Formats: sequence, structure tokens, C-alpha cells
Amino acid sequence: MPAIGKARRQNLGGFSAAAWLVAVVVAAPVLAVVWNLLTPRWEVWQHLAQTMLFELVRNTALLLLGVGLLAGVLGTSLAWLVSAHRFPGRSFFEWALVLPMAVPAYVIAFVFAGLFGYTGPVATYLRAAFGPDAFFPDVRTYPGVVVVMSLVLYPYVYLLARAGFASLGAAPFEAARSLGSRHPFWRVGFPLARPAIATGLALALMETLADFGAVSVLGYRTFTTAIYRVWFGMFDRVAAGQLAVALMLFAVVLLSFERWARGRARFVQRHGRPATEALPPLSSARALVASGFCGGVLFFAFLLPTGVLAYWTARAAVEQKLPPNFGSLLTNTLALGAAAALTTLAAALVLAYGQRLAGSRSLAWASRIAGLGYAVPGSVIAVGVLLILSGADRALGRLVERTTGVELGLVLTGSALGLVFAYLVRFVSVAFYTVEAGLESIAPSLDEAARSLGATPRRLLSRIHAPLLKGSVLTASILVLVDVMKEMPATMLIRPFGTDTLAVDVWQRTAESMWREASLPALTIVLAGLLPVILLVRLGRRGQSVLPS
Amino acid sequence: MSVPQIVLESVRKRFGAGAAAVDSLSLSIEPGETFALFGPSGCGKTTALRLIAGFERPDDGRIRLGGRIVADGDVDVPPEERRIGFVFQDYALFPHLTVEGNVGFGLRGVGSRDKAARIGEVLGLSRLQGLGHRFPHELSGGQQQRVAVARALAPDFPVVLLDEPLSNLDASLRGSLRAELHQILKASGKTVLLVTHDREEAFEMADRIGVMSGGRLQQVGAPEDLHRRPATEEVARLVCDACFLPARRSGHSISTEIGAFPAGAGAPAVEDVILLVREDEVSIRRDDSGEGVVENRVFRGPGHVIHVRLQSGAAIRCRRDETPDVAVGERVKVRLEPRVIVLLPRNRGA
Repeated sequence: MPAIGKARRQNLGGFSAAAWLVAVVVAAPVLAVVWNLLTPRWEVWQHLAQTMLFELVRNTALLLLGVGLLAGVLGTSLAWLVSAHRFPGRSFFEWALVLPMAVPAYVIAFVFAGLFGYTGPVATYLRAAFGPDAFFPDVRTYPGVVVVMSLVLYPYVYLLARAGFASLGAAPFEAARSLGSRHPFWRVGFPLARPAIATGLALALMETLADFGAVSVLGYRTFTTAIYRVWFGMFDRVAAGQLAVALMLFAVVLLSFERWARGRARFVQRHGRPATEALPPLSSARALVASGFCGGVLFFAFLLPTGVLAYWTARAAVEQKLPPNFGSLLTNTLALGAAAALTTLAAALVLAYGQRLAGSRSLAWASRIAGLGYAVPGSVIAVGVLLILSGADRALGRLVERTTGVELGLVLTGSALGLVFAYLVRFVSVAFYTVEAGLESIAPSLDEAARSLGATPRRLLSRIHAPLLKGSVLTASILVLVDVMKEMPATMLIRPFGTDTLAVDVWQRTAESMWREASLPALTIVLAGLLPVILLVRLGRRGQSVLPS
Repeated sequence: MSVPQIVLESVRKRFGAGAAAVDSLSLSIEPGETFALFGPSGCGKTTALRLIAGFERPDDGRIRLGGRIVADGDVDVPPEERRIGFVFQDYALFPHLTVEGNVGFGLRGVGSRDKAARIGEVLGLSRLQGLGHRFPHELSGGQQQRVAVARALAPDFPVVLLDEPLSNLDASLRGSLRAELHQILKASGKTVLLVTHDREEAFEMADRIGVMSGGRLQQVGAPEDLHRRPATEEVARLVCDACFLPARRSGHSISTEIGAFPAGAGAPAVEDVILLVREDEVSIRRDDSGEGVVENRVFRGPGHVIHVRLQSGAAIRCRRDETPDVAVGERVKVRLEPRVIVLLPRNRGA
């Protein structure tokens, strides 16, 4: 078969240029940070090394290690249970175990901090029962942070591992059994699904690295909290920039790991019988243990935090402690989310169409560059955006002052524009991969059929592509909108003064241990977060591969 | 004399750095004719079709449609202006449009009443009455295939191109749909060019067949002529159930290890030739001093095919309707009763 779909290349120069422009805009903040790396400030590094650098590197590495282990074990074992065994509630757990994904790490962190803190109900009860020196499970410790974050990040591993196991079907397990292996997890299931598991693990670790809210609520110092502290507490932008470089290096390592794993993962969808039919049924005692394990994880990762949030919200409503500015928080958040969704979608469409129509190797590179934003922690993007905006402001100010004599001040820095810019960088990959998948499902022969029937390119777009792409465009908008609602580190650094969002409000109140007051905005974020999870579950049912959101 | 509907003049197309997918292809198809490009997969036949439709641009050569140049070094008429109906191998039905929406897609600049009438007419012709409001995914494979054909027939384009039109269907369905498709296409009165790797499809549907291999056209002719007088070993292999026997020509006779035959007119003027041996022109008899050994016997259709290895190492096959009385390993005497002697130049290495 010849390479089909490479339509005529006339008049496509504009598309290529637009796609490259998007790629450059998206890459700019990261390049600004990398520029910092190329011009290291040794005295700043020396200072950082003496004060916090060692602690930050150790803490971040330990956190990645701990979450990697726990989320990896949780995600893989749960996926193996629901993929290969029958036990009470299996089909319910199969989708319900994805739900914790809707809970941002900072939300579960503050709920657990409130529940299990020294003054929380658990510790109070234990002290009343066993005396003032009684043990209580403090979450403001290294194990606490690892457990809390793993509870909401294991679904990445779970989803990808499950897809990996499902794609195997029953055949390899039947083969293993015929060759005498009764429980073929270690010898068949795990090795075959390992690339998928590694990909999921990489995504979970990227979230761990990017997290700002959870570690800051639990008092665990990492690069993200340090960048925030240095930026706002010490107003030391140079040091913040150098810290962003260090964080970026961690991200590069994770990204390479993910690329490597993804390159080996092959989700061949086989329409065979599921593996559950090929393996011996669990004994009834073991089946109960399996149900209990799944139920326990679901309880601590989703039911408990959302239940407590609902209870606190209700108590706050009764005590009239609900945030009075909730309406404006919601509209701010939605307006920012909508603006970001529109911008991101426009960029994603330009990239996807550029690739389909012009299809050159350089364009493939452009979209690959633009698609890496999900791997870059929000704090790094924020620092990059601020470096660019303040530079632009200086240049603009000089220009205006020279021509009109008026002192302009900071126009771009601290504007909503900067925030939308940062969201574009961070989330364009989400929109791009969604739109690209939609576009790929439109076979090139459809374009050719329409054109052979006399359709001009314009009619092709309006009559064939627009109706067929509607679904993926809508999905992409929802994904970006919800991601923006949950986003915390970049929003904290760039938000215009006085413009608070739901996530910012949650952070501010939890920083003062006002759990109940924070619960309504947090609950709103969780409910919004359920939307993409539902989309994901439905996609998974249709057997499509699952992309990071 | 009428102007040919489709003309290709020394058309060449190469993808990337590999060999040319289509090489110096020249072809002329008359109005109303049904022509089949037949050959193994990868022989360049689909590329030829896509070049005519305008989905690809030739590197070299010229394409004319109804006398008008649509592609050469200077001209490249876009597909939407070529007025060619195209039936895709995967049908390429628009999934969001009903059968009527699909069939009516190419009817532009037609009044709504005329449009509805034309859609009804084409649906009737394609035996799709009553399915107009269904969506493609609600149809069977055979119905989808007919919608694809109906959509290509609906506009008053003079030419219809079909890319492996029946290859996506079950083998059991293919036979009956082939006859049906043939009728629909004939009834449309259009010039039809279809591409297929299915021998029966080409032979049953086409007025003339062009056999392609390695990007080149090997031979063009009516089905019967191709079968009777294949021009090359390649064509014979693709078109006839035949094997080949090395032969030496001397004057007007040729000698093989199982006998001598008169060399007919038009035989190649070289000494080293091969003789085409059709399965039904061979008979065998058990004979301990025979020149062949039975290697295998398989049941096919109503009869048997017996594989015989000759002393020189050449293999021939013999088809018998009655159950043969020879067993594997036995020696047999082989007799050849050719109706037409077909001699072909010997390929290098053959």
C-alpha cells in the first residue's frame, strides 16, 4: 500500500507555519528555564547547596521511591485481581477503582491531615482510650505522605496495567496452564504487562514530582514548595529559577523513563476471551480477601475522603462557615478553565491538522515538542512563563517610555493572560492527543471519497470532519477544563493579585488548618474531576488505550 | 471512432526510494467498457487506480479522461474536479450520514426533488430500497458494499473505479455478490475500471483484463484470450492452472522429456523454451518403467490432483475426475494431450 492520505501539499505552508508557531510558544517557558541552566549562577547554587538543596534532592528522591513502590504495588495487584480473577464485586471494582483519580492529592492530603492530625478525631479518640501518649497514625510524616499520595496516584498504574492484562486475553494463560503453571502471574502476566505497568508508573511519578499542594499541606519539603517559598517568601527569583532547573532535571529523567516504557508497550487489542476465564477460580476465602482488599483501597482512597468532605461541607453549612466568596471563586475558575480550553483546543487542532495535511517530519517534531508539556511540573512552567512575561514587560515598558514617556509598569506579569499561557503549555498535550486520536479514526479514504464526489476541502471540513470530530473536541475541552480546575502550583505562582480560584482557596484555607471551610471548594473540584474519570472508564470499556490526563 | 474514456500514457509513480510502484503503464479503456486490472497484491494496480482518481500525482507520463488531460508534468486536476466515482476497498462510508446522505453526497447543484429521485433510482438499482434511513453501522457487509457502489454511481460521472470491491466480504458471499455487482455496473452504462487480485472476479466481470506484475502491465486481452494464450510465464502462472516443462525447440518441433510436439505458430524464436502444461491436459498410467513418480495426491472439487515428479526434477500436476488408481511413491507413465501448444521464453533461472 502506498502512503495514503498525504494529500496535495499546495497551500499548506500556512498550516506548517502555524503548527511551528504553536510548538515554539509551548516550548518557550521550558526553554527559558533551560536557559537558566546554561547560565548557572554559582553563588546562588552555593547558597542553595548550603541551605536546602541536599534536603530537597533527598526528599524528592525518597518521595518518588516511596510512591513508586506503593502506587506500583497497589495498581498492579488491583489490576491483576480484577483482570484475572473472579470474586464478589469484581465488575464493580473494575471501574470503581479508577474513581480516586478524581481526588487531587492536595484534597486527600488535607482531609487526612484533618482526620488523623494531632487534634483530629482519630488521635483524640486514641488518646481518650489509651492515655495521652497513645500512638496515632500521623500523616505529616514521610510514610504518611507516601501513603496519601499513593492512594490517589495508583489509578495511573492500575489503568495501564489493566489495559496491558486485558490486551493479553486468555490465550497466554491457557498456554501457561497447559504447560503446568497454575498461577502464571510472575511467569506470564507480569512480564507481558511490564511495559504497560512501567508507563503507568512513570505517569504517577510525574504527578508526584509536580505535586505542590499535598506536600505543602503535609509539611514535606520538595522542590515545588521550595520554589514557591523562595519566590514569594524571599522574592528571590534567581534562586527560584535555579530550583526550577533542578526540578526540570528530575522531570527529564522521568520523561525518558516513560518514553522508554511506552516505546515497548504494545496494546494489541485481541478480541478473545478475557483472562478471567483461563484461570482457576479463587477459593471462597481468597475471593473474600480479594473483595476486602479492593474495598479497603476504594474506601480509604475515595469513599472516606469524599464522605468526610461532604460531612464537613454540611457542618460548615450548618455553622454558616461556607466561604462567602464561593460564587466568585467558581466563576473565576470556570472562566479561566474555559479560556484555557479554547486556547488549548485551537492549538491542538492546528497541530493535529498540520500533521494530517502536511504530514512532514518537521511537523511531527513540532507536535512532539508541544506534546511534552504534561511531563513538565507546573512549577517549572510557571517560573518559565514568569521569566518570559517579565522580560516582555521590561521590553514593552522601555518601548512605551521611550515613545510616550509614560511609565507602563507590569502589564503582562500577573495578568490572566499569563495564567492561560501556562495552562496552554501544561495541557496542550491532553487536547492534542485526544483530538489526534479522533482525527486518526477518520480514515484517509473518507477524505478521498468526499473529494472524488466533488467536495472541496472546505466542504470536506464542514460536512465530514466537523461532525465526526465533535465528540473528541468536546472530550478534550472537558479534560482541559477539569485539569485547569485542579491545577495548583502554576496557578499559585502566576495568578493575578486578588483573583482566587477554587484550588487557590483550598490551599489558603488548608494552610491555616481550616478544613471545614476548605471542604466546599474541594468537593466541587472532586465532583468536576469525576467527569474525565467517567469518560476514561467509558473509553476503557471500548478497549481504547488510555492516555494521561 | 470514439475517444477512449481513460488513457494512460507511460505513467510512472514511485514512493520514497524503493522501486517504482507503477512503471511505464500505458492503457486505453473505451467508453462503456468494464476493464479489470488483475495482479498479486503489491503489483501497483491500486496505485494506478489512485493516480487516475487524482489521489496521487504521477512522477511521469500523462493521464487523459474523455480526451481531457487531467495529469501530466504541468496539469494536476484535483480529485473533486475529475468526475470519477470511486469505490474504496474499505468502502469509506461516512459514518455520521445515513445511506441516503451517503448516496446523495455527490449530488450537488441538483434540485431537492431531482436529488431524491436520483437517490431512489440508484438505491433501487443497487437493491437497497427501504434502507435509506439506516446508518452504515446498521448494515451488513454486503449492504455496505452496495451503498459504496451506489454512492459512486449516483452522480452522473462517466467513470467508476473500484478498488478490490469484494475483498472485505466472506468467501461464501463473494460469489453471489460478484454477479450482482456485475449487473449493477453493466446497468449503469458507465465505464468501469476495477482492480482485483481475485482471478474469478476479474474473469467474471471484465470485458478486458490487464494483468499487472511488478508495476508493469504484462498483457492485456479478453479473458478467454488471456487464458488460451498467456504471453509470459508470469501471466500463465496467474491466469491458468498450469505448470511448466522445460523444452528444446528445433525447427518446427519441440522435444520434452515426455515426448515431442509440433511448435505452433507464434512460438518464441529461441531454442530454450518452456511448455505450458495445464492440469487437465495431462494423463497418467501406472507403469513401473514410467518417467514420473507420484509425490502427492490431493482431493480437490469433484476430482483429484496428482503431483508427479519427473526424472529431470520438473514437477507437473494432473487433474482427474475419477478416483485415481495410483498411490504416492508409485511410478507412472505421463502423457500430454495439449489442445493448444503454448511455448514461452524461458526466464533466467527458470
